[in-house]
Amino acid sequence: MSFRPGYFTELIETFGRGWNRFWFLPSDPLPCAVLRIAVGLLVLFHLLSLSGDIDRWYARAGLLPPATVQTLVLAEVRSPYVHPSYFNYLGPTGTRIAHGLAIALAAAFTAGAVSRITGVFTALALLAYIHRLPLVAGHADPALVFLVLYLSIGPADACLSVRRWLRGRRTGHLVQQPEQRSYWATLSLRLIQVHLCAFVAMQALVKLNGDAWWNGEAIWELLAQTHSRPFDLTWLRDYELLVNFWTHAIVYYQLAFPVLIWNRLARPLLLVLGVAIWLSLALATGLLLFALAMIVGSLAFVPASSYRALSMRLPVPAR
Amino acid sequence: MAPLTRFDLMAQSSDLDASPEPAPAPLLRSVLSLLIFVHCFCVLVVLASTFRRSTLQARLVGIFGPYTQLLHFDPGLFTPFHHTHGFPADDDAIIAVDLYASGELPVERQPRLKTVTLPAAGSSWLGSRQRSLRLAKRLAAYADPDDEREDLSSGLARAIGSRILREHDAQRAVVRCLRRSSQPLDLATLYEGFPPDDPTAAPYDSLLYEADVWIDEDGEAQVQRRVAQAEAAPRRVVPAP
Repeated sequence: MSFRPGYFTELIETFGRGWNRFWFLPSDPLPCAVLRIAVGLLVLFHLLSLSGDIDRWYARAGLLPPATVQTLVLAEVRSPYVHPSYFNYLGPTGTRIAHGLAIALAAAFTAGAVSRITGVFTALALLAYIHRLPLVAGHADPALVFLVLYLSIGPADACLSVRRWLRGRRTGHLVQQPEQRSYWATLSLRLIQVHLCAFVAMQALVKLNGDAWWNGEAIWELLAQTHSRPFDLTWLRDYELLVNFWTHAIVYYQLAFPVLIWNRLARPLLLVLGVAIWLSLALATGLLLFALAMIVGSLAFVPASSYRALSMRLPVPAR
Repeated sequence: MAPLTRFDLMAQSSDLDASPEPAPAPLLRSVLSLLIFVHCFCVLVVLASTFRRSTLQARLVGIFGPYTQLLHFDPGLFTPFHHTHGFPADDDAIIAVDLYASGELPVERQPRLKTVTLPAAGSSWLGSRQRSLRLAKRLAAYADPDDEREDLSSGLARAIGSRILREHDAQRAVVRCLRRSSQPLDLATLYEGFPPDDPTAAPYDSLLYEADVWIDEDGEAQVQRRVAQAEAAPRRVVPAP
């Protein structure tokens, strides 16, 4: 077999055009704004839920002092691990102040106040919690970090924001006014989409390393955990086929999502199914924030036109 | 403008009246493209090799690990995204800390002040409880007879014990880690002694780790493991091959 003349030139040129269109075609910033609000609310919920025992966990003299964390992490990773966190140097009062500042930053990001700056600082704050205690980092943490970081790239405060509201007071419109399409908005959403697909694929791959997700009993194993399960659903023992189906549905969905979500026809179905799948996983594990983060991340695949159609139904503030 | 394709998710914003932002200059676009490619390559490699890594993947992750770890793009290092593989190590564990007033007297010769458990009672939806469960599971993993890490379990027990001691103004503690075996789907495979109608009964709890933690005269926390590792009783009959 031989390649026809000019094949590689055409291949490279076609790939280049596709690449540029994929990453740099200017798009409506409204999806970024919607995601900014949803992600910001999740971050706020996450941070507020830490408030009760913030110094017990995160202060320098908390349950796991930095030196202990360092020892445990190096034993696990067996290679240099970079985990700077300002919490390593803060006492109880400093920890509470830093936590309060993180909440304020997340609130500013959610409200759309200079989201490129507040977003970066919110992500840095989230990373400080993670790097202080990587051994007990939650499932939602990585998703929240990449969502906030990528949203900081685009003009996420171009609409549905404090900035926009201040400007809109003069015109009497909240979001109906046309926005300037931006390639930064495209870049932001594309990075979220690609990273989310890899993140979901990773979850499917790690599941396939164990028997429980193959023999259909993984969900039962989760429901049978008396300390971590949020509800007692052990009556499902009498419905083994349903348990099997639930288990397989999660794995098959996570395998299908990274591939089929790019298909325009399959996308709406996957997005709706995703709500059921992620919430069902939360039902079995109690990982509600993680489930919500995955659902919110999937919103990056909702077309701008859908958001704009929805925004038209929003009440217009009186002049 | 090129015709829309199924991949042009963002191109559906043609209802906008404002003129689009000018396209990036070729140089900027080239730099951004390079950064995007390198970033996506790093992310895809770490996420594709979360559970197990080949030598090639390990080498690659070793090169850009500082970047991916710094931004927590390599979450599988510590967080089990498989949730369970059905192994005993995936079962829930808790940490119980018995507190005593004196650091010099043995616990048999003084009354117990109270017992603090991690996690404390509360909703399983809350991050605080989940964090405690992850911590307890980690101690259980270090103390697991199949893969025991005495130095790590002792370091962890000392850290937890000394913090709880300070919180309650006590001087001596007994730190225990208990793993609760989950019931199998088929109750017929349960061993005798495991009540099928009560999955929280004592036989389901196995003591994996127990240590004395006390504050010495220098104010330092000391730890001494109490007993040799407890053998966890299997909860189900292993089917014949």
